[in-house]
Amino acid sequence: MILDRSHRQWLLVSGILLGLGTVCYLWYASGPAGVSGGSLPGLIFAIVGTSMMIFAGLLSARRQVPTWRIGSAQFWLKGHIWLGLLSVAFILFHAGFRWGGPVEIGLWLSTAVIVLSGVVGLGLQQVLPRLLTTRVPRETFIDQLPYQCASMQFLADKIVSEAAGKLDTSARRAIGVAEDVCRQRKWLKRESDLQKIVSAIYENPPQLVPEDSGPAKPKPAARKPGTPSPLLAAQLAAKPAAPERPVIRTEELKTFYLKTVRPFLANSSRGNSPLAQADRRRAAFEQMRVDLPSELHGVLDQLEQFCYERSQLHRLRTIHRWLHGWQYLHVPVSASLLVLFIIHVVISLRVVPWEW
Amino acid sequence: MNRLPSSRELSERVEIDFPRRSRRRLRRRLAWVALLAVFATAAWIGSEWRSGQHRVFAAGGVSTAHRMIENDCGACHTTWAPLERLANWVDPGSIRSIDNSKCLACHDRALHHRNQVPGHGHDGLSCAECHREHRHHERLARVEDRQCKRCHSDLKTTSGSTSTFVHSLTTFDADGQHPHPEFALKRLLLESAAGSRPGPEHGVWKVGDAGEAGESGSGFRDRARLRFNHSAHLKVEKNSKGELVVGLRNSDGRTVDFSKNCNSCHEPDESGGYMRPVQFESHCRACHPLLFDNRNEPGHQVPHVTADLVRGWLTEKYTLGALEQAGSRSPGPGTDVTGRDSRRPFPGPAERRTLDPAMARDVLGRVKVAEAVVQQHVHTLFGHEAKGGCRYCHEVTDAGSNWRVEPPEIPDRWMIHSRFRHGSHRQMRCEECHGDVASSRRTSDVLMPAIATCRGCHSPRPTAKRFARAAWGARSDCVECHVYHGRDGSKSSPITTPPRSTAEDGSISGR
Repeated sequence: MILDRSHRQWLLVSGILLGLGTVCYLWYASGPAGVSGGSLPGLIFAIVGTSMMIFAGLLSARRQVPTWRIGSAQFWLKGHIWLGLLSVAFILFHAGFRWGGPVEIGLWLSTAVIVLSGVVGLGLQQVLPRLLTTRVPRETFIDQLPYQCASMQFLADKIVSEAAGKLDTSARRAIGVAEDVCRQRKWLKRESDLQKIVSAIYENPPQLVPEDSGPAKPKPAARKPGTPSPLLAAQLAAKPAAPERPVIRTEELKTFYLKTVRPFLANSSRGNSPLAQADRRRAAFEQMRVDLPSELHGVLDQLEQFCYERSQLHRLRTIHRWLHGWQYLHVPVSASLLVLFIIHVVISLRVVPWEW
Repeated sequence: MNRLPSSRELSERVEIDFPRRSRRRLRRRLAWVALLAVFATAAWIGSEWRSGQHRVFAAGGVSTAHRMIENDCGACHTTWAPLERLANWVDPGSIRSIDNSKCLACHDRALHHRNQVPGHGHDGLSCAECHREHRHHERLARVEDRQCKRCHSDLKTTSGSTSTFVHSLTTFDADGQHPHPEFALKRLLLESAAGSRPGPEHGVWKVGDAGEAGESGSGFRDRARLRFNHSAHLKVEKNSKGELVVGLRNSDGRTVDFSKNCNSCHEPDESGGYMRPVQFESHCRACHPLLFDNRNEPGHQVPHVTADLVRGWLTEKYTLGALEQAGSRSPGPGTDVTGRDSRRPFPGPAERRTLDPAMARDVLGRVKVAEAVVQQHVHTLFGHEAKGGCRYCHEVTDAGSNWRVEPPEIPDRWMIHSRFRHGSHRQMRCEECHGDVASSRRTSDVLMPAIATCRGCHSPRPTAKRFARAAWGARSDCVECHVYHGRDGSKSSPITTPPRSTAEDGSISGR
């Protein structure tokens, strides 16, 4: 929620309500009876403040029914912000600016945490989305981070294996996404192709397709313009395979990849890895370019690009944590506040608690 | 290198079926954490409730005196009162969460003043309106000034008269709109002091009287019937070496300085609040002996009691002396050579020995002489002239053999509408408040401080102006000096009209 000119009406209404409430409170507090939450004016302040808090809390319920025509999401979010802030003032008027007992202190602390975390969250929302756009051009869905890391690993495995031979490594996670990656890139003509691709990359690949399964029957798909005809495709497939390139000091490449690059591409890698820092990453790859022959520089370029993307995902995760992390305080404490609020209301109205 | 990805590249980085899969991982996590928070909160409240700790629901800590019932909310409160108040849309005065009867079950009630308007008294007020509980106050009696101002800002009485007390009083600050007036006895003493003359019901008339006009200001004076000269007792002179050359002489004949030792006579009581009455035996007798026959009975003194008892004491002493003298002059049968009675006594009461008429007349004559001596002003003791005798300090009604000493009538308390703790002011010197003591020659001098002395330290909360000159410090709220209940002298009153001290108890009282 960006604070812009569209909030002016809310600001104006909130200011008027706050002013009215303050005038009423000053009149009520200057009376001979003083301030008490149990007096009639005190109870009215409580009702008004509570109504505002309930409206603010209903935002989460509103999100459960996005299709209902009960006001736009913007309206509810603005109400959540402004009435939520205003409710604190009215609850202060209700309490006469006193802490109260243990339950009330719990309510105050909860309210303070909720308001502070909400204000911090709102402030972060003014800054971080822009920061995300400028600093993380390869932004993606946060839920897709594991998939993207695994797919980058698989693609990097494939590139390195083509240049340096099969990799002797455990690649369960990468193989898990191999089918999706291959399908997206249309590498699978038949079902057994996946097994072939994986076998070409890893020393001991798992059995992905049952051995007795026959070749996948190509689906009679409608030919798109610009795609080769089935006949031409068969001729292209029948072309003799290109001769293997000579392997030149590929062991160094493989070692560098398996020990340095591949762990960094993993979803579990740390953001403080040397490859996450641009200058150190550049220096590492420059050193490898010096050490390795020019035939492998193309592979190094692709690996460096993967590392660059992975470092962006690290940054994305960090920003995402800041952008949404405050909710881990805001939401649970709101739930606690609700419980304490119900207890406070019931006991305050009854005055004498029931015996257990 | 580091080029921006194309849209095709970006789309290839996302799972094929991602749009169809749930993306609510954050919400699920939040829901679980929220549920955990709810359980934790409920567990906390539930455990307190189950263990009977109902104070967890209280709106704040109770006062020290109510700690024993802090978990028994029903001891003071009635149920559902706020809800009824809300449902009926009425103010707290109509439906109360605290019934006065529950307070009075433990606490005695005492009226503030006989003349108070009922609506401003207990009939129209709830105890809890002034004594606000659950506010972590140590003492509920320390009520806010606003509760006092409810009546004293526009004082009304049942008689319609407000001449006894100030009609409008809202602050202790001299610069306030309706400031506390000068103390009543000072208003009477100082003609220039602002404020009305206290009415006849004012307590100031219990400690002083009008006296003769022109004697001291408007004539108000200490009504005590005792002669005492503070100036004479405190007078000291020193030579160039700092040695004391003029002062009081003690029993050793040495000159002593009492000017810096007020507590030689004025000793604080157990509570440290007020001064004990000055005792003749411990404070006066050493220098003011009650000699009666220093030639025959050197150093012997009569007790500091009423005239009748002094007469009886003297008669007994002289009678016993005469009998002893008579017995030693004519030893009866049965006495041995040493004069001891060697006879075996008969069972039953001892034989009563009586004075013959001649001896009795002699005894009465000696008693009369001694009584006359006792009443004198000057005696000779320890080789120097000592000022003593009843008449030296007391008013003695001389009616021949029925002479008697008038009670001194020194009040225990001077400002009976307020309370004071000398102990709290122990860092100050006595003369800072009782400044006129050193020059006071007469008992009728009223040596109490003016309100300006108190305001020197007890000032209201600082405004910006006051803060700048730092003229604020000690509290100045009403209950700092005054009490509400029983100020009129009912049984639970912490302040009662002081009893008149008399010579019978051997004290001449202090202030």
